[in-house]
Amino acid sequence: MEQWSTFSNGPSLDSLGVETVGEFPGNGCCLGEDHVDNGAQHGKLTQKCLFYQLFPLYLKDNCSQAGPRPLLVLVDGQQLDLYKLFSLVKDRGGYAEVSKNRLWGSVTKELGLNLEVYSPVKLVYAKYLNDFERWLKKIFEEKILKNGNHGCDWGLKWLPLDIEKEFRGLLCLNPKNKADDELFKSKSNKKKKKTDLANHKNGNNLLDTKDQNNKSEDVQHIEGDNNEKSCNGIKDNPATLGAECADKEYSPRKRKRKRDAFSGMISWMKDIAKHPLVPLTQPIPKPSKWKEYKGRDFFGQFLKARHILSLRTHEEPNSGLSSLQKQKMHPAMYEDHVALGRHATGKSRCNERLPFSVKSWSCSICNPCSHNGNTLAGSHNKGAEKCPHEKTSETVDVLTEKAMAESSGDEFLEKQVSVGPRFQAEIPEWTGVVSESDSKWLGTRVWSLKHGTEPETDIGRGRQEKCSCEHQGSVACVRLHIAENRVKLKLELGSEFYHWGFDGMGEEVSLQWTTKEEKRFKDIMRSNVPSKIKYFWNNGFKYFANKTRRHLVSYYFNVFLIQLRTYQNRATPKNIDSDDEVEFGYLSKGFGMEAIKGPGDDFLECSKSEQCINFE
Amino acid sequence: MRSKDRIAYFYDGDVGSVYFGAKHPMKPHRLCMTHHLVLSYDLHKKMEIYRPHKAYPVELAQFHSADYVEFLHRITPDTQHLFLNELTKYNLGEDCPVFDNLFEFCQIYAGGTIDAARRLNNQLCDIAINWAGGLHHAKKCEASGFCYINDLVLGILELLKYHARVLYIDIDVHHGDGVEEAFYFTDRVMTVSFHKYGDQFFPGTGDAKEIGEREGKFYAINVPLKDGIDDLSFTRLFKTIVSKVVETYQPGAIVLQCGADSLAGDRLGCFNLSIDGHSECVSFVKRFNLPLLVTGGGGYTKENVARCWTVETGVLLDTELPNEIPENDYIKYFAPEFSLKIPNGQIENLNSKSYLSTIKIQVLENLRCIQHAPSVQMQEVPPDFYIPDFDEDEQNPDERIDQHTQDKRIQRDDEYYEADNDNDQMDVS
Repeated sequence: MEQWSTFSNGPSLDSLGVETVGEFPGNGCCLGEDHVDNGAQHGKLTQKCLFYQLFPLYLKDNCSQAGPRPLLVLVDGQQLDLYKLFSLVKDRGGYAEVSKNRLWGSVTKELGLNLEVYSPVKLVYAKYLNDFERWLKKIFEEKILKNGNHGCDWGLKWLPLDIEKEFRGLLCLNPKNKADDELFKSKSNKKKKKTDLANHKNGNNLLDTKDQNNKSEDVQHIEGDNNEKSCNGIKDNPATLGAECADKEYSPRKRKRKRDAFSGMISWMKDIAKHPLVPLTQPIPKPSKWKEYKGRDFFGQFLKARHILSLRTHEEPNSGLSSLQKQKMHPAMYEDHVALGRHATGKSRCNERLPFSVKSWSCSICNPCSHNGNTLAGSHNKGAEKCPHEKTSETVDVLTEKAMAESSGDEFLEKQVSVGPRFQAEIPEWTGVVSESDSKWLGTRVWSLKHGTEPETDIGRGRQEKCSCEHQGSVACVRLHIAENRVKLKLELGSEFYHWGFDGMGEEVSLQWTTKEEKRFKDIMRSNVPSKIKYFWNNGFKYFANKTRRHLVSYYFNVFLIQLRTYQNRATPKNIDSDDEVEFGYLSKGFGMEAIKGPGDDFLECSKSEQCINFE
Repeated sequence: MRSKDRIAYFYDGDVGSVYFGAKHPMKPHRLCMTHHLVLSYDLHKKMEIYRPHKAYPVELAQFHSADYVEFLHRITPDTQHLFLNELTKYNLGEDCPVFDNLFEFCQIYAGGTIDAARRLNNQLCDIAINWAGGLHHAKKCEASGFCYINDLVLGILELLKYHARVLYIDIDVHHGDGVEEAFYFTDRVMTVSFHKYGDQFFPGTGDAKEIGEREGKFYAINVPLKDGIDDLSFTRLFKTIVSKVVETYQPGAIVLQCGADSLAGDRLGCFNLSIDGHSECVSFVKRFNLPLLVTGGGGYTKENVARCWTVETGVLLDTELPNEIPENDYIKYFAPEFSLKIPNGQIENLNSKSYLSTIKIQVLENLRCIQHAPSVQMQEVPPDFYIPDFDEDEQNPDERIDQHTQDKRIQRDDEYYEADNDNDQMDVS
């Protein structure tokens, strides 16, 4: 699973709540009149009204917060009409159908939103409405059980076509329904009560956990499909989904791209947190020290989560605690620059070792919530007492989503090979007769072997150890040899030198740029604002009238990146990350920027890091 | 020592100048770097280099649906907002963005692989290399995982015109799902993919249980691996399985996808392979002396991609390259060591011996099933390497053959004996 997305979703959605314009006023009916009196037909209106009546109930019931969750959700700076979203998706056959047929784009469009934000919309649906749908269904089922023939024949299926009818029916049955709600609630509370009581505020996270586990399959979809956040920084602190959208544009739905080093660290910490009983090499700071880590890379939160889990895994809190104290871990290992530098190490922890973690998680969290919460609630409570509420909730949220993604991943969603005429190639039967391969297009030979001109031994030579330069290995020496080799190649290749674009390779490309242009280009790149950079690549001509995209790309790889790399070679020879995008993140933290802008911008002064290392 | 094989290497200078967009891990510029490094090591003096033709839409439609090809042809970054439904339908936009010259890019890399296959078919070369190709995720009707056109399928279809059976081997860290899917029902292509599987790793397919269906049952082989596999266990498994596959299946030609994202330190990968381990697989496949089409594939740490494919070009040319990279315009990308070797991966190897042996046993068991049910004429068409196929009359008259090439062909007659010997010496551990 994408690591970072699971991490960011929870908090960002929560912060969504915080960002909301206003809270839904209790259980009252209808949103503001302006939504309703727009000449909508009566049926729609009542549906909407009903929707906004039931939804808070559901939230109240399932999220069991003190008050209902805020209803106004902002996506891309606009208010999202949950009812409209709900009905649009229903019209298209429900969440699964919409995802399968890739209709999220059209749903988003119909909502009047920018298409690019379809993934947050999908997320909102999955996080809130999908479960709401199930909840409604459940209520209906219960009603049928309880009331037998109610006069209305509620189908067990919640068909999209039935929605209006059911909503209308719901409306006229409303008072009764509410009573049923209460019944339902009290009934479900039997299961949850003890947990609730014991956990107080923390309980809601556990309940969330349970709810979300119900729909784990769907959530898995979202997470797998579209919530990668490839941007690397907690610093972005996604306050609204809108803000996230800019980044999401880059996020692959099918996620071939991977988390960066930072998220690698995050997931490593999650791993640590989730396997409280796995011994570590360095001591974990004692609980009393935890607050020192507050705000630092969420380390503290992970520690707490780990602590809680460890308590839970042991039915007796004390043994959990003691085992915790034996564990070892060195906090310095998680600091940013270490993680970035030790890219590979970070990644090694990214990928979850599945079977074990899933099991340990599901038995420690899911079961207590749904079945035997009372036995373990106490231990959880103990853990909770030690942790400030908000922190725990966030951490648990993260872990929950993670765990769900895993558990649903391999068990439920084994991807199958698609079969059918739209997938397989048409292969002619083998007749035993060789059918002629079209010989017209075989490529154009642009380089042929010239035998006898070159002694064999000269082929595949490496760098010469010795040369006749006065200062071997000096900048001038290296530059001389690069130039020599270039001229040699140019003579050998003739016109191919140009066809293959060798004339446009290397830092010589910068000769075609004026100093002013170069500065402009670098300024844009260094701004490190993803949206700005993206805009730049798509609209480069607006910045540089006489340059095509090809020129820009060429400059980027042949001059800009090489200079950046030269700097890195000099400044952090042990920590070079070839991933240019991470480099930006790295540099944007202030460290090194001054050096890059150094006097005269003359990078050629130090074009080879070896000697620099020697000097140092 | 001069290589006894005739190598055709395909490159077009335009292929590296496209850009997928900021923060996109796929950087075609790696192809420029590879080509530059190959030439820095003077490897061009041992092979012929071709500029591929740009594959025509109708050629691409040999596999892909015509509507998809047509759409790829038509779409540009400026017009894409008008085709939102189609973009979704064809899975374009996120992993597979629409960028300037997208279609030309596809035409070049697909043209390279198709030309390579045709040159092999016409026995104009023994090994064809197209590092720009190998985009194994692309599906018949949609793009996937940075791949738009599946050049491998097109190349294999081309080889199938000449060969009864073609073997496809994939050592990219990702499952070669596009190729497997395309040939899932046929026994004329056997696909063998070694890849990371599990933990929601892209693309999600590639379980050992996927073995093909209908006539293709048992003709798809998947070797699912976990994080951190190292040279020794990988090459051992690779050699065991591939040698058994070749022995059983007797392919007429081999297509080898050399995705470099299985190397240690790849931005998207999670294996621990060194370039030596990776290229050992290439060298092993070469020793079968079958017509061989070698393509690139994934690879997202671009210096390492350049290193790896340069070394493998050397391997195919029987040229061992010195570790010190010669001075060239891109030398700074290879800092701080300026060497071909890359640091060892530090990822914990989660592939236990017992896990690997379970996989191996399962694969070999499936292979046994085809031994006893040869649905294709296993013996009627002898593999190419038994055919003395140097009849000049069959040559395409358009193709000018210089004296040197002719000389080489004549030399080859006696070299086949050596080649057979090579087979015996294969290290099957």
